[in-house]
Amino acid sequence: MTPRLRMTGIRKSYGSTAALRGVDLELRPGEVHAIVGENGAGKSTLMKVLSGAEQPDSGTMEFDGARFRPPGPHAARDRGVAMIYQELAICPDLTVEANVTLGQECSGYGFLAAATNCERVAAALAQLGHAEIRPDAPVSSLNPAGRQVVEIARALLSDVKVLVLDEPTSALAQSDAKRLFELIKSLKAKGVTVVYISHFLEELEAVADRFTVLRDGLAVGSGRVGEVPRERIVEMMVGRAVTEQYPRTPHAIGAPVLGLTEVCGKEMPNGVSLALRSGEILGVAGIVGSGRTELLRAVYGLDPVRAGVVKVGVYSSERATPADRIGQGIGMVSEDRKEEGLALELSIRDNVALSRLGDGATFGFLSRSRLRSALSEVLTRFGVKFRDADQAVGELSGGNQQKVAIARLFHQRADVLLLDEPTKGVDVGSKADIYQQIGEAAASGKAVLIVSSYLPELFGVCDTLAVMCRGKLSAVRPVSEWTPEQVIAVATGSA
Amino acid sequence: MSTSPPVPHAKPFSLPTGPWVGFIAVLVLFTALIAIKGELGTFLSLGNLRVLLHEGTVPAIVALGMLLVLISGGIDLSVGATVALVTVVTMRVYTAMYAASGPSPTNSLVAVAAGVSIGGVCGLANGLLVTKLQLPPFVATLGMLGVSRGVATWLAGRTVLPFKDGGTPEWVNTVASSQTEFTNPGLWSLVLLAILTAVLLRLTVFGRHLYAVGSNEATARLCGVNVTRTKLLVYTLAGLLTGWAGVIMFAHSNSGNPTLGEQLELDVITAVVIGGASLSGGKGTVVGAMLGVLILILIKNGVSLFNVPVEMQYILIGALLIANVSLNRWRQGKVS
Repeated sequence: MTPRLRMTGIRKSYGSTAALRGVDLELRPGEVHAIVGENGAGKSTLMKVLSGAEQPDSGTMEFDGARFRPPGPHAARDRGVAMIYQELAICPDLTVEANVTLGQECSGYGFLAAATNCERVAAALAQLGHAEIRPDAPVSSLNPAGRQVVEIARALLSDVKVLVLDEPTSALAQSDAKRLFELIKSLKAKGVTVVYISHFLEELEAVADRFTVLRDGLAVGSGRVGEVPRERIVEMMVGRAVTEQYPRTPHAIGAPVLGLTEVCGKEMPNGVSLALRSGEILGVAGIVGSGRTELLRAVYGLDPVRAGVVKVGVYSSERATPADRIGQGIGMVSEDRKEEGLALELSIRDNVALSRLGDGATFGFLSRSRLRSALSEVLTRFGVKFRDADQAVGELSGGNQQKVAIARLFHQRADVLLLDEPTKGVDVGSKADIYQQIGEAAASGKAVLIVSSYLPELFGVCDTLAVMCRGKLSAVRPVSEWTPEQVIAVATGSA
Repeated sequence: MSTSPPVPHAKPFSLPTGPWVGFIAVLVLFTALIAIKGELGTFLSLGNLRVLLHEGTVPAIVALGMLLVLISGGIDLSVGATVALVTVVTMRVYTAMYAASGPSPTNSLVAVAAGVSIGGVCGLANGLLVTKLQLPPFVATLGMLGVSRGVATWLAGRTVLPFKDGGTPEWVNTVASSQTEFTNPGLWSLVLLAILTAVLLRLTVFGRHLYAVGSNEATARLCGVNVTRTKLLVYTLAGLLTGWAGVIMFAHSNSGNPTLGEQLELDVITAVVIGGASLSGGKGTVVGAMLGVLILILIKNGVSLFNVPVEMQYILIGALLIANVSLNRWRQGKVS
């Protein structure tokens, strides 16, 4: 079979760092091809080259046997190669129709052909099985899944032949992810080649036909999904055998440090009670939108607590600001690293020190040297790879950024760690480092509350587990008393 | 469990939007206050309406350009200085032609063309600074504000340039008079330009791209919108509109005056924002912007009629701006 698209010897460097060191990739018509690899392995760069957003330093591409070298994303789209980015590319002030047709509007003498555009969009949405989305609805009224559909419809409108999806499920709830998989299968049936980038190996098994593993800018292996065991794929990604995905540090559970009694937030959570003890790692499972994030925000004082009591150590209060909570020894890592978790333009040092600047200051004046020495210890412990602490945190890879976000809590000397999706968009190696630090934190007597959508992680790391569904929290039970099937049943309200 | 549907329920009815609420509030307030004083007749008189429209013409035309720029996510602080520069250039060209060839309709045509073009050039310069030098629009146009004002003052020789005695062309008198405002060509040019701007925004590909660039520039670029060209064009268009406003101003003031239009930019931005546009781009309509200008002029006029101290005017306008934007925010918060 002739390949739809062939990339040969693609190289790309940024300054002195080589992102791609001669990658070969072959995509067949009507296949779902998964690209896996740690963060920084070159997946994004390779896909940017494919979709015209970046120009390769050397190497060739062939599309249906003809030379292919798009000077920009628009040129690539004209040839039928479109990419859906992880951070969805949407104009929030425009309607669905305007977003889908953007840059490819039907027009005559500069005037929009409104009726034709609406028909095209409605047809594309119907083809995707989402006829319920009205073309004239403002796109800001859609949820992330709906916005993703809008983007895929945009690609469909330009007669897409190769569709690149960059971690498409990272913003979706489980049921939406399932619908996405069905959509991918229907695209595949139409002969569209789908390139699927993901950290979740389970997803590859659910949706992909073949896979290619990237590591350090090279394609280190490929094969048919199902023929290669998962452990072998992980080995290829990491470049070493991962004996234990979830390193555990032995730790003992002590006295309660955080107690919630019938806590209610604005809409969610809705009457949540739990007791978190020192040295305990408590996992909260549930689907996106079940109120897990809202629970953490209410406890941390970011959202108001409408009713109920939050007891932190000796403090018991109804109203508290995040500053109060920090003073009481609570630290939180947001699930939204770019918007909330980190100030990307500030230095690594400032980001880590932000919640406890007081120690590095005398009468309000900061002492750089004192901050530096306090921080280097935390950063080394986490194995953050950085040039120097004055570097903007936005220059780091996703995994290293997340380590910085979590390291802040350690610098802050928080006793209770609230971690919202602590390994979202993080590569396998960094994940292991983060698990290691969580385990050691528990061993040193800290209490950890982890919200995660990734079940294996919760089962691998936590001592106890509870499941959230529609703002309510199930009973907290030891992990050994749960099975993944039970968790999913409770999370989806079918238990 | 099923997740929330991607589309929310359709709104059963829609409340009047920000600018209308503000407009009605100001109107009711003034009518009430003035009625108490027994001066309602004066306020609502035809003569007063003429004055309102007359005074509103220049800021309204500038507001059309500002609206386009704000929708694209930019800002133009140089409009007041550009208006002054246009009056000076128009007068300089007119008097030079008049001196060379005596009275002739060509003098006016060339002078007006020069005035509008200089506005366009200022706009193009803003656009080039924003796109080629990648300056933030605030900085680029703040710089152009200084340059334009300085050039205007230099060209005018630090004085106000009048028409040589008897040399005032007829059309200037016509445009300057508010007595026949309903047939004033200046006012009708505003109506025409407002309609054209609304058509541009609603029905053309360029208008669509303007909203897209203001809403999310990265997405617009990704979708193949020529962002650089769109921005260059929008600043140039705004400059041309400001140029035309400058020509009207030239007629209104009967002179080339480098001190005209001071703080016009702030008035106009206030009006357009009261009219529902956002400084972060992607939002705004012609109807809203025109209502915003009307509210602003109404307050100014009403305050002077009502014989309240002028400082009340500033306080009212400021309070209205804040109240209006807060109202919009609050309402958006309720929707989402």
